[in-house]
Amino acid sequence: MDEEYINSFVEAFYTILPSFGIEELKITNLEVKENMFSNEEVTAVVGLTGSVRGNIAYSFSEDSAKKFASAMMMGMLIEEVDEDARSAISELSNLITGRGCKILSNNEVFTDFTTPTFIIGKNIYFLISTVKTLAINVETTAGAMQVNIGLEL
Amino acid sequence: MNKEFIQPFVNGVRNVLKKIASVDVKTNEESFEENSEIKSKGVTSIISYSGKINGRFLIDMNSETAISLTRRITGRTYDTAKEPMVLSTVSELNNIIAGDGLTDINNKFSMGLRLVPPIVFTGDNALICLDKIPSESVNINTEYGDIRINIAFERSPEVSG
Repeated sequence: MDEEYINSFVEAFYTILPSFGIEELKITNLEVKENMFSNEEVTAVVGLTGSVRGNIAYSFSEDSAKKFASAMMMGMLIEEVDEDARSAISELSNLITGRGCKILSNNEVFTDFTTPTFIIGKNIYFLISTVKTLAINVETTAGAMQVNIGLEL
Repeated sequence: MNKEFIQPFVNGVRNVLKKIASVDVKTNEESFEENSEIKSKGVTSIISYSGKINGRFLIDMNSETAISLTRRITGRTYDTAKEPMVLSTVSELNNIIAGDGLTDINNKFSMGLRLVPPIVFTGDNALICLDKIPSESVNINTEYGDIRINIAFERSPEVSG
């Protein structure tokens, strides 16, 4: 997978997350995998079409999903990952993907993306790409987020 | 939802399973509205599309059905649905079925819909949520077990002819 694609999305984390008060971003792990195993409870998947096709999956533990949703909703207390919380995380994944695509378009790579679909549950084995999946773990003040990027290039 | 956007996917399942696995399907072709939360039967593959409108198609079956269909197609045996070949087969079936269905819709209604590569997963009691977007399901029976397909469009597509 081309460095340019990964850097665009990493740059998007650093732009979007702090604008909601989610600070101190640290990439703790970065690895290439054949498939994706998620032990996290909440995953939002956004699809990309256009010059680049693929999926980006944003995974959170239940606890960090609540904290990320709360940050998106001006600090409102979130007690469970309900429709409102999912809507907030959906918006966050849209913003990050949108920003990543915008950065890519500066380099003449034009993409469009789809509405996020949520998958909620534990011990889930995913296959999000027929090629390889890049997993990025990001630690923040709102908890951890795992981003899996599977692009067909 | 306009039934003309559901039928191409039902036909897709029928044609693709017949062609690839020589499996006959039975369905009453009646679609019913789903809640925004869908409980996975065991193995689910989701494919989204974008174009004039966004949406997604999913195919859902229990683990035994996924394993049996894969065995039927590849001629090998598998112990669990977590094996990459089982997941890849369900994902590829979904890709072909959705491709078939969307080509039909694009040809009839000039929707310009484009497919995202499918994702597939298996897990314990997974819930699939697509909030605020109406979706409809159709149950399909095969000799290897039941398959559910679910079709969602962000808003009801306007038929432009």
